[in-house]
Amino acid sequence: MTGMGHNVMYIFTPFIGLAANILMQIAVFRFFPRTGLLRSVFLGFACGFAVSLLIKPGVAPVSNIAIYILLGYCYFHFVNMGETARRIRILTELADAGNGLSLGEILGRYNSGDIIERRLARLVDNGQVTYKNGKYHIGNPAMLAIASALAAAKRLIFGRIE
Amino acid sequence: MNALFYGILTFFAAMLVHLAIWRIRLPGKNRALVLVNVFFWTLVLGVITLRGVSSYPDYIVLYCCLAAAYIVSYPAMEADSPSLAIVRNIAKSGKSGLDKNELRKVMTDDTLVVARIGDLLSDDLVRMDSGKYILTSKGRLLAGVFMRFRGLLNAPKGG
Repeated sequence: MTGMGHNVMYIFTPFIGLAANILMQIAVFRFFPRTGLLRSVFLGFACGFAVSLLIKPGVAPVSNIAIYILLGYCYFHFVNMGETARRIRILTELADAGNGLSLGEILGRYNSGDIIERRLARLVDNGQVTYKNGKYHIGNPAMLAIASALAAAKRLIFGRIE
Repeated sequence: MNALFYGILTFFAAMLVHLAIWRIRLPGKNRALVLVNVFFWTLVLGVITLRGVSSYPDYIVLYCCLAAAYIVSYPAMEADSPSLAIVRNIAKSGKSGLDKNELRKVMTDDTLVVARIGDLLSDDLVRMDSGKYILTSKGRLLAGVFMRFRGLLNAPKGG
């Protein structure tokens, strides 16, 4: 095979890995929902990574590995948007309603109370927050580190925290 | 390695342009679209000017993936995530901990829901008609993608 032909072939391997990642993640979550969404994403990522390495063992260029990791990150974000994004939830409510909704109707279906409840439950389930004697405490400082990193990125991009 | 180096270099060049634009004059509407344009035109400039790239397909795909990863992360920097806001509030309360009602006082419908509806309006995903919010064709398409995907996962509505 010529150099260019070889190039064109291996550029597709991270995308084949991504396809394996998506199929695995969907299958795991659909048929074994108790695995949890985050764990299904990690399993899918590992499966896709193995597939992309196995296609051409020993000749996976560093750029291909980087491309697969970036594609996996984008897919994780897509899954996460469906799970947590408020804008997507509002769009979904409007799509379900068909003829549009007033502000009051939207808030009747989805409001700050729901958002706080869902997120506290998720944070407690993941061990990031603990609940003792009617009060919430930090369980794992990882989320706090992410919050600080995002605040720093905001300061860099916007010059302030909006 | 060469494609990796040039891909990252071009990405950082695009980030500098993005930071300069955002600091000088923050775009009012469709910021994601402005961001896509910044990344696209920086790539065009990179392809024209960079002579030492050994593999252009690798370079372009890697750069596009870096740009996509940044673009999908960008909304999290623009809109404050409620989970992170909750964690910050709990951290601020220190050893005494935080009551759910205290969270409800600072996290209201206005900040958590109404502000996001404003974003949907400015991104042309939703329009206002006779006091009702209605999906635009772009909004319907986006909602459809996520509804079908959640259907595949057999998962309930998110949020």
